[in-house]
Amino acid sequence: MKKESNKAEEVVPEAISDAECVRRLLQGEAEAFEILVRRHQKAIFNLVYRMLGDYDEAAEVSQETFLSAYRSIGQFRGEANFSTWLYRIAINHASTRRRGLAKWQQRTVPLETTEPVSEREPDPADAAERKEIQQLVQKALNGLEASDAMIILLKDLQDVPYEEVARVLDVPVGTVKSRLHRARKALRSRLAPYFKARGTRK
Amino acid sequence: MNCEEVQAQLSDYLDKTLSPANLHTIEAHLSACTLCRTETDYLSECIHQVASLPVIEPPIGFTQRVMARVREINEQPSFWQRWFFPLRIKIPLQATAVALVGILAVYILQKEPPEKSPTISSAIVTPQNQVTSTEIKQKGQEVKTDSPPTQEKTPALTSPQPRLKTGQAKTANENNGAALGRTKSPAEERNDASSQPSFAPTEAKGRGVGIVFGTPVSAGQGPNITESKGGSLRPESMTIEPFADYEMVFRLPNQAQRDSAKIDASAVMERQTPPESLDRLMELVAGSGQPQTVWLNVSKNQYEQLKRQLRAMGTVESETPFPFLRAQPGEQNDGQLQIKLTVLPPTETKRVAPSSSSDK
Repeated sequence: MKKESNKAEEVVPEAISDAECVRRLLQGEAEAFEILVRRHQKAIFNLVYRMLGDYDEAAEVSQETFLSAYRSIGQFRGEANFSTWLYRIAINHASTRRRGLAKWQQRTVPLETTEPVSEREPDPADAAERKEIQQLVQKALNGLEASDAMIILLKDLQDVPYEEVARVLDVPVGTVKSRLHRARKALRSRLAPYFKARGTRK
Repeated sequence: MNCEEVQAQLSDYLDKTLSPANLHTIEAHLSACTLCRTETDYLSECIHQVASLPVIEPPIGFTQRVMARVREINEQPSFWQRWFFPLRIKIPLQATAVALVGILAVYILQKEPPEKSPTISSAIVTPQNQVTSTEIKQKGQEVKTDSPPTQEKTPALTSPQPRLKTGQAKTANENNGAALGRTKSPAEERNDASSQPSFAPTEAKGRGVGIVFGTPVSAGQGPNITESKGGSLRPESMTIEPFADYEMVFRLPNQAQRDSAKIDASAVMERQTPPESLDRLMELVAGSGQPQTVWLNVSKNQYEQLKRQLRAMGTVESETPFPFLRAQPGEQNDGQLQIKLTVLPPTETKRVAPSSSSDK
């Protein structure tokens, strides 16, 4: 266990809660932050990656997210989950970066989806199709309003409960629902050509 | 419930957050309405596609990078940390710097800037630096005065380049060393250096190989002298000599001639030139048996007088003008001449000849 934790980043000592880590961190134990980073890096990275559609940008923004969190840990109040707070920071950073990227994108080529090697695909043909769909979805997400993309990603990708999404966005749950529905419809209309071409899959 | 109302609740329906009553209504509508069913399928597909996006692994070492940055933030380098932070890099670096500064300081302190002396107008003055004279006397003990100065005199007079002369002097000296079959250790180098002045005119004119020159020694009002010190370990190229318009090599008369010469000298002495100062210099040379180099500053019209004066006291063995060497024109050019005067001991003055260094 101790040895593994050195090697694999995913190995996170679950015994220590986020709140405990934050408490230790506030007491000056900077190493407690490492547990938080290990625990949340994947979620944050994937959220940001899907927001931006670019691996390197995502890595950078994710790092910025954690560093911002570290710097402003004093402002974190225990009423929210650490993850909620972290998501909020990530969304702010990603939205800012996205605006910058959009401007840059207007002058250059469309934002390309740099899809890393996807996970175990038994059938190559199926794998190719899945990859194609994933790229389409990513493109559609890239084309959405940042707020729409964000809410879809929080709810559908990260499976964050409505209540927490509401806290992340600092809006009532009802607003989350209506925004989510509007965002999904926007995504659906972007993916409609694909659905029509291939027929709905039931 | 119409299609629009149903479609507005499709998200909730798919998320299963509808109240049982609403759920029932929606399901009833969907079973009847193909359009709404298709829409539901599309939305469901969207949700499914987003949810099934592969989980991407963060870059390897992400946590380590973040933590490294965190430590950077943490250790907001204080003043001392900024200076010493990576100890293994900065301590050796700073130690080296300190060592270099130390070496440099030693160099600088060893030779006080000789440039000052020419600017102080004067005639000739006896060196009053007791330390120096003691030093010289001590060196006198180790001087090997085995070269007949007359042999070296010729190159000194003919060669216009001090450096060449130095080379010759060195050669002579090395021959000496070779003859004695010794390898030069640094200590011996020092000995060599201090002994070189015994190769009289040559070394005296060389650029600091054997002689070390020039500490200006103030002697009360006006008169100034730049005195030579012996035994430098510094390489030739490192030495800096004061500028000289003329280089003169002067040899003291031997004991027999000395008294009369002295009388002659006092006869021609200028009143502003304290005779005793020259005398003391001469005595020092005669006493130590070691050449002395002084820098004199005289006005142009006094130059001939000085020569006369010197001739009265001994032999002017060479006189070399260097009119082209003036480095800073105008600075010292106001009718003043800078003269490098090397006073050599009498040809047959008592010499301290260490047994090992006799060259026969």
